[in-house]
This record gives sequence, structure tokens and C-alpha cells, in this order.
Amino acid sequence: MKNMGDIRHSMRAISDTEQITKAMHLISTSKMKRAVSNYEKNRYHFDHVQAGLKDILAHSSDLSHPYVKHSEGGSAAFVVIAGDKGLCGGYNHNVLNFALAEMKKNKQQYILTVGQEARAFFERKGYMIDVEFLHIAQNPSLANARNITNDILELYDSGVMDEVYVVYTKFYSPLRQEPHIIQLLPVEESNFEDIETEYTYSADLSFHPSVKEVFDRMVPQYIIGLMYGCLVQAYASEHSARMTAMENATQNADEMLAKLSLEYNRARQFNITTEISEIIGAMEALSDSF
Amino acid sequence: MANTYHLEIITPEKVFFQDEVISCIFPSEDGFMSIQRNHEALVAAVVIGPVKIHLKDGTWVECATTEGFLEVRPDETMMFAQTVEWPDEIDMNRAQEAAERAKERLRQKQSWNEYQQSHIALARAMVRLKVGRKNRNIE
Repeated sequence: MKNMGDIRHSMRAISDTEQITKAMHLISTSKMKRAVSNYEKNRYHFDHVQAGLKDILAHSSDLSHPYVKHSEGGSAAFVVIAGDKGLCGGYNHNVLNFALAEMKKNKQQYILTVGQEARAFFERKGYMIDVEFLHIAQNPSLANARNITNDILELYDSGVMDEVYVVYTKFYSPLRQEPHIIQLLPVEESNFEDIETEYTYSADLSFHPSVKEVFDRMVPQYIIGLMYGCLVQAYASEHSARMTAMENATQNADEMLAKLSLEYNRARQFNITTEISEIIGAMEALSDSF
Repeated sequence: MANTYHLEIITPEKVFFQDEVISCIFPSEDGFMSIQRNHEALVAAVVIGPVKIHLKDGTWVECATTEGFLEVRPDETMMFAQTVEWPDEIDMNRAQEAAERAKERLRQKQSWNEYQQSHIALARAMVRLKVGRKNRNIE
């Protein structure tokens, strides 16, 4: 039997921890709600911009724009989006290991990270990080998406990389998030196999003012939109994961506290029983002597 | 009405507009373009500027857009842009400040990329200022 002081001590420690996890749960719940409402607003754009581009590619022949044509260099860039902080269950772990597995398929990779956990992970694995975006994981805004896109396009335009992928955590519901990869560049019809277009027709599209001008402007806009969507979903996923993790932690703490308080009461009972039997023993010993 | 078509204006942050319209005039690379019913299938680059929409009830409305692209399909027309705002949503003070900032940046020596970005920022602020002064409903 443990002694009462020890039990009381660990109970206090657990209830302190529980207070923290409870607070974190509340914070991530409110952040998650905001993130999800952003996600809802973004979802329509996210789905339709991909369907739109698929449609455009399907209805245009002989495209020869650098954003469309695949060059055989074999060097791929990965934008990996993870959180700034831990304590969110398997969120960081899942997306980062998924990214690593995807990266191993390519010979030469460039790594662009969003979030401190992503940077720490690749440093630990001994990879060089080429570009690091700071303070973006916690603040998925259009301006940030624009900055990332500018950097990516600059590198792509200069011919450093031949393919650009983004790895993020796709948000399905507060209870379900899965790592996902999207090919950003070059824009190929095969990228959109899982995207459905709503309407089919056979006419060829015309481009105004010219194919080059349209793609010069359209593709960056498309990437900014997609990037923003990925950031928003990653943010929503992170906070959902943290919410679930903290809820579980609070529950565990509750269970442990219940177990410990049982143990504590038993120990107290035991002490009382011993004391009583000691007193009775003493009394009997005394009464015998009279 | 028979002469209307479905127009959607979508930004990453929201679905800005979704309705039947008679026509839509948007800024393209080489001037304004108008899309009406039964336009041929087209993809056009949209540049920063005001967008005028002729609603199905006959009134015209105006909003400000930043860069994007527009896809005309037989069933509907879709415009994707970064931000589109009605005049009453535009924060004039912020736009004014942004314009000042961009002008200041343009005065400094910069790389070509920075120059272009400042230029875009200035254009964005200017169109906000221009559209923001008006009402949503125009003649």
C-alpha cells in the first residue's frame, strides 16, 4: 500500500496537468471553430478552381507553356505544411512521415517547410532545408499564400526545380484528417484525376489575349488559391487533432484521478483501521493489567 | 429572363457572387471585355480593376477585383480572383495607406520583382479607392 502523502502528491500533479489540457482543449476548440468556418468558405473555391483548371486543360490542345509542359530534370520540390507546436496527437507525425515517404520516390529534392515541427523533423533526419517559411502555420492568410507562391514561382521560373508538390493534412471532418499530396507544377491533366468536372462539352476553348498571357496570369492565381486552401485545411486539421488529443488527455487524467482517489481512500481507511486496532489492542492490554 | 446566364465570382475566402446576370464587364489585359449569354468558350486573364455586372432585374452593380482568371463555359461563367469587394466593403483609409506605402516603395531602388510587386500593390489600392468612392448600384 502506498502512503497517503505520495498519493496526494501525484493526485495534485495530475490535476494540475488536467487543468492545462482542459485549457488547451478549450483554446483549440475555439480556434478549430474559426478555422473550420474559414475552411467552409474556402472549400467551394478549392474544389472549383481545380475543376476549372482541369476543364481548361481538357479543352485546349497543343499547350506549350512552361507551367504546363513537363521537363525531365527529375528534381522535385516539396512544400511540407506541419504545425509550429506539438501536443496534437499524431498530426505532425503523420504528415511528416507521409512527406518523407513521398520524397524518397524522387532522386533530388528541395524542401520548403511551413511550421517549426516540419523544420525540426527534417533536420533530425539529416536533410537540408532550402526555404523555411516562418509564422505561417499559425496564420493562414492570403498574403502568406501569396508570399509562398512568389517564392515557389521564382525558383520554378529559374529552372531550379522541375516539379512542385505540396504535402498537407486534408481536412475531412473534425474527427478525420489525412495527409495528402498535390502536384502544383507543372499543371497536368493527370493531377486532377480525382477531381470531378460538372459539365462536359466538346468545344475547344479560346484564350484571351493569348495562351501565354493567360497561363502567365492564371497559374499563379491558381496556385495562390490552392496554397491558401492547403494552409487553411492544415490549420483546421492541426487544431482538430489537438482538440481530440487534449480531450483524450483530460479524460485520461480524470480516470487516473478516480483510480488514485480510490487508492487514497483505501490507504486512509487502512490507516484508520490500524489505528483503531492499535487503540483496542492497547485498551485490552490495559484492562488485562487491572 | 431568356437573355441571362449564370455567373459565379469565387475568391479563396468566400463565394462572392452567384446569380443569373445579363452581362458582366471585366478588365482584361487589353481593355474591358463584356460577356453576354452564349459567349464562346473562353479563358481570359483578369487584371486589377472594376467589374460591372448587369443584374437580371436590369440594375448595374460595380465591384473591385484583383488579378485572376475567368472561364466561360456553355453552362456557366466562372471568375476566380484573389479578392473581390463591393464598394461598401472597402476600407478607404486602409486603401489610402496601402497606396502611400506602395508609392513610397516605388521611389526606392528595388529588384525587378520587388518593383513589380509594389506596382501591383499600388494598382490594387488605386482601384479600391476608385470603386470605394461610388455606390454599389450604378447607372
